[in-house]
Amino acid sequence: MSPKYITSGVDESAASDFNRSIIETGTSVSEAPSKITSSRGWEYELDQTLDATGKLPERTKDRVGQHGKTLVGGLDKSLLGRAQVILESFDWDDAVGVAINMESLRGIILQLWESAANASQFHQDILAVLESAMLSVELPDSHHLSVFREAIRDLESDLLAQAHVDVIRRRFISAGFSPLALLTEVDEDGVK
Amino acid sequence: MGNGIGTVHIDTSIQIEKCKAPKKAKVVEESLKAFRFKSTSSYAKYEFKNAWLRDLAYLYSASQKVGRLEDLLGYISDRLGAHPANRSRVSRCLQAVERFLSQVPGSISYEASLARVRSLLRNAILGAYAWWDSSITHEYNGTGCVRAYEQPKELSGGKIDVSVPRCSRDNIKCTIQRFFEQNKQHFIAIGLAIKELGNNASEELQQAKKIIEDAEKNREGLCDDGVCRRLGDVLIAVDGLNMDCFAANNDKEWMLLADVLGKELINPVRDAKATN
Repeated sequence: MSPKYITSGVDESAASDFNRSIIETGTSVSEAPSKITSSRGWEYELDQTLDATGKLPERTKDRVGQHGKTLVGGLDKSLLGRAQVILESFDWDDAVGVAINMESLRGIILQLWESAANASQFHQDILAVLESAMLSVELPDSHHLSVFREAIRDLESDLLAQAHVDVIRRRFISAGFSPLALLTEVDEDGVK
Repeated sequence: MGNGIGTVHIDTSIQIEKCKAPKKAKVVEESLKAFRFKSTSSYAKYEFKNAWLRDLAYLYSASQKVGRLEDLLGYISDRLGAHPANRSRVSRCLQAVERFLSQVPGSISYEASLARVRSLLRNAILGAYAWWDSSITHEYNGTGCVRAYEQPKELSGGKIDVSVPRCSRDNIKCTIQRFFEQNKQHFIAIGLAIKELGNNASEELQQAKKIIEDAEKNREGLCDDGVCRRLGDVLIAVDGLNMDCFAANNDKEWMLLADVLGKELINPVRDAKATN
């Protein structure tokens, strides 16, 4: 589902509003509003068919997924938690540690795809934004880590809207990441 | 230039280098850092969409039709076998994506691999225009190319519309003919310079010369995507007339264009290769 109106001015605070409105509702999906209005008056539709399997998303309680893992919004909660812990423990004076942390994070993101295959499209989109960025950068700076954390926080949310994806995409672009980094290994410009 | 107030006009080829991962894009970014005003042309965006975004969209669509990532290459070969150039481009694109993702050792299930690639492709296609717009200070739109402004759009059912409808003189929507008229002296000068080069001119330049000569007689002939596409570099260059400097990675075409239009040409990709 596409937002009714997207501008480059969509920002973090708007996403937080959406998060709060989704999480604080605490009702079942069938009772939830089909649209969210942000504090700036932009209206977004909530996707009621978010799940890639065609099922409505569950959000009132954690699920137990394959191998007994607890899932949030379809994603492996323990892996998300581990990623957040690593992101909080970067020591800039320790270049080896930073490189090791990044390797671990990339490995965690890869593993997250196992649970993401059954998660919502929005969770998958944000995970893709995050992974593309993590594969693009060898030694991240503090700004990069800040957007990584934001993406992980979103992934921990049970229910996401298109606005979350749009905000995260723009935040990563502002941090210097290109969504087209996957073309890095292409040598020609391909125009001719 | 180089004093922090210069202006540079960027061709599609350099924009494509800029969109890569920082380790590769850094060379270009460093060389453009001195310019506080960076422009490109909407026609460069059209070229970018027509080349890379359509290929990525084809891959994305194909990824929705196969059960395993490993089947993608076969799917492409089966469907595009009769179109070797297209097949080669899409396959090359897929290989680049695979190389990008293979940076992380380890394996995941078929289902997870496919979801991963689909999502990466979706992100690339749907985020491309936002990245493009953020990567420059200004976009000139002399040709009024409507196709350039048709953003990739998500449709219901997980499909993405990256189509580029044909344009024809029966249904003119752009302003290319007016653009040609307003800048006629520059187009003619470029045509003459190509003529002087004779057989030393690249195939692209020779095609451009022919189109310029035809447009002098009938400028509405430009209003056809099959025609304007062959004039791409020239259109992009003339669109950036107000800028001090051109940045491009196609020396064969852009050295002439920069020379005729009185601009300095920088090619950071070539310079980096020479240094290495």
